[in-house]
Amino acid sequence: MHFNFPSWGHYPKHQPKSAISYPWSNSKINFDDAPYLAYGMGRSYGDSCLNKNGVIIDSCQLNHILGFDSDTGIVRCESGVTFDDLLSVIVPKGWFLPVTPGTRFVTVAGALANDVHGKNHHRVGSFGNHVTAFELQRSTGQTLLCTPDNENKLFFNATIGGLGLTGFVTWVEFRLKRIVNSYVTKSTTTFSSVHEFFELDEEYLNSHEYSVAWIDTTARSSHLGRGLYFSGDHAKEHPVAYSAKKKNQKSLSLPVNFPNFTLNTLTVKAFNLLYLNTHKNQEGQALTHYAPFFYPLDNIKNWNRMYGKRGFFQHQCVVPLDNGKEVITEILQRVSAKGMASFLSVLKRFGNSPSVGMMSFPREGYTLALDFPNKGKRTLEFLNELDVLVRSANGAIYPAKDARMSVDTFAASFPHLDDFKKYIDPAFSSSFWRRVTRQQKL
Amino acid sequence: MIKNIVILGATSGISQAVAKQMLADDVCLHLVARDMAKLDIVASDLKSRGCADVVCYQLDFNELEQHAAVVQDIVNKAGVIDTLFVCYGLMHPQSECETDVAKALEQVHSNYTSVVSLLVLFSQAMQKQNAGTIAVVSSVAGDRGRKSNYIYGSAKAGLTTFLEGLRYQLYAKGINVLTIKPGFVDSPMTAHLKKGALWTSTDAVAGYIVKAINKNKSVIYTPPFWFLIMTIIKIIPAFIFRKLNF
Ligand SMILES: Cc1cc2nc3c(=O)[nH]c(=O)nc-3n(C[C@H](O)[C@H](O)[C@H](O)COP(=O)(O)OP(=O)(O)OC[C@H]3O[C@@H](n4cnc5c(N)ncnc54)[C@H](O)[C@@H]3O)c2cc1C
Ligand SMILES: NC(=O)c1ccc[n+]([C@@H]2O[C@H](COP(=O)([O-])OP(=O)(O)OC[C@H]3O[C@@H](n4cnc5c(N)ncnc54)[C@H](OP(=O)(O)O)[C@@H]3O)[C@@H](O)[C@H]2O)c1
Repeated sequence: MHFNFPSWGHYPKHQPKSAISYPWSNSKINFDDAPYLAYGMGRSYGDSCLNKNGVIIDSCQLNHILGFDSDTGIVRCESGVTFDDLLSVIVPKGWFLPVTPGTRFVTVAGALANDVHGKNHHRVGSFGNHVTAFELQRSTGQTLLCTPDNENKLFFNATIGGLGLTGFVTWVEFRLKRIVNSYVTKSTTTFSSVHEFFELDEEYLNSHEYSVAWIDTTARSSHLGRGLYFSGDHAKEHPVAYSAKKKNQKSLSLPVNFPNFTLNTLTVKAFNLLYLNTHKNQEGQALTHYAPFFYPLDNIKNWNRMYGKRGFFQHQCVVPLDNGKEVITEILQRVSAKGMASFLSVLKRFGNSPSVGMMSFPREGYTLALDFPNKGKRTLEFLNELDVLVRSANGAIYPAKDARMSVDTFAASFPHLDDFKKYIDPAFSSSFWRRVTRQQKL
Repeated sequence: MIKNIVILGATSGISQAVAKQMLADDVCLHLVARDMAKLDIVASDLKSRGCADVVCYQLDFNELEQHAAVVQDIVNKAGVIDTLFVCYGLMHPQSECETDVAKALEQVHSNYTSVVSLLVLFSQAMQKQNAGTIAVVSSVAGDRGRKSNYIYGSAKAGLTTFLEGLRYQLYAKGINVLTIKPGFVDSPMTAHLKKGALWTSTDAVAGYIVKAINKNKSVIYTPPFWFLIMTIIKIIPAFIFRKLNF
């Protein structure tokens, strides 16, 4: 079992009153307490995986792969199986995850509950689009088999992206993607302003499976929004054997929190410049193992500690295409003007595949993810300012990254909210949910 | 050639981690446990991860009279047993055992008597092979009697001594007997305990175990730093030890 249950941003620091471990996926537990919330790997940034004074159900013992058909690429695994573990099994057999977030240390149920997206959203939608079935354990004792078209299909739609609120998921079945080796052909292109990004994106997006841009938020005026455009495709030839792990991969770990002053504007500036320049030299095409392509940060364990004890915020929005370009530009302008430079800033265009979840975050438009060290009120006010911009363009804020959006912003982000509420398990709740629905604090 | 690995207590946290590291496309795992519903899950997992073959057997180790038949069944199916891994046990809270004879004896029965029975049976069969490994999970708790855990500890101490003798006996037959003494392992058995810096994951412990099996080691502490801790604990004089609360 996990020793403690933080979220990735280390803000807020909410403790549950107790924690239990779900023992076996085919056993039932007594829900004689409340409120419950499942916990996977705690890779959500804010408070959606926290349950202050409630009971956490740790899924770490549910780490079994229940079935893997290496001919059809259908895999069924228990909810606590991590993408990291799964990759080590499926890659050598010529399969890959249909969708993956920027870290492989997430559980399958965590990926389901936030209906996570990856660099291939424009091609294949989000994780939920590839789920064929899962089992939901309700506190009433009911066990629901949910598929996209059986009698529980509304629970299917409510649970995907349902923030863990509809009950406990015991296992998930989904379709994998064929690959012929473990490499990716990656191309890197620099762009000198956000306008150039939009142009590049029009040109590249549809010709590559994966695409994402990194933005240097410290750049100003004519360089505003300069950065690097990464696109990639699974390598086609057979030059190398499959391997789940890159050989001689070294990993670094941050064992303690950095002091609060380490990450000041200067270091962020220096980092961004360094990042830009290292990659500038790598412009053009290269063959790379999938791990550094998809999970550049996973080699530094606990990199989140670099933000110190006070933790940090991530702000991820999506803005519809209509006025997406203007709003994204405006956000970057404010970040740069206020000197709020973000350490890691990622910009991507979501495609138009509809998400299956009632509460799924991905929808067509531009999505921008920024992170900010927690400097108290100043940071909070600034983030609210960004929310206003996002809402004015009918955009949405991503709950998996959120620790502070307002009740109204949440409601405006999720038009099917009222429908969703019908499927919530009465014994389940989270710190996030109580905050954004303004319920009694525990 | 297919390698046969027999695991007694295949649903335990440590066994599962060991099985995951030992499986291969030339390995047949023979899994023994009392709860078939759990064992089904473990078997599906190991098959999905690429194990050549997995065979399941049901046995409650407390039921000694069933032992001979199940052991015979395994021996018949496997032919040659390359590795026998024994990893099951029971830990009731000590306070309950102090007032409940049945619980105290069950602890001894599961952790010691039943293992002796199974090992006598398997040794007889494996001696004929003139090769193989018998690896058994005992515990650091058997190294010294502590007031908080001496009933469990005494069963493990008995087991450790039994294994030492068995090792000397089977040495001439080409069979290696490995005694494994884990320290604090974060597993279902200890799910209710508060964890600190001395705790290790089942995966990490499994790594040490598999390495020791492959290297024909005799006795290991997992992680190795427990050897130091236990060396110190063993030399603390009784007049101090009785004042310690652990
Ligand atoms: C470095 C980094 C990069 C990231 N990149 C991306 C990205 O590119 N795209 C993206 O979409 N996200 C991204 N994320 C966010 C991350 O993918 C999600 O927060 C994901 O849900 C985390 O999974 P987890 O297993 O850690 O779940 P947790 O954070 O522990 O929990 C997340 C939610 O899942 C629920 N849950 C967990 N297990 C169960 C269960 N068994 N039954 C029911 N509900 C359950 C929880 O209750 C909670 O609501 C990133 C995160 C990090 C740290
Ligand atoms: N965890 C530690 O800190 C630690 C430290 C030192 C040594 N050990 C030893 O490690 C071994 C494995 O334990 P673990 O930590 O992995 O804990 P665990 O997961 O709780 O394993 C205990 C296993 O023993 C099985 N078992 C108990 N009595 C049985 C019986 N009569 N018949 C059949 N199976 C029986 C249980 O089966 P069910 O699943 O059916 O209940 C369970 O699978 C034990 O020998 C333990 O003493 C553990």
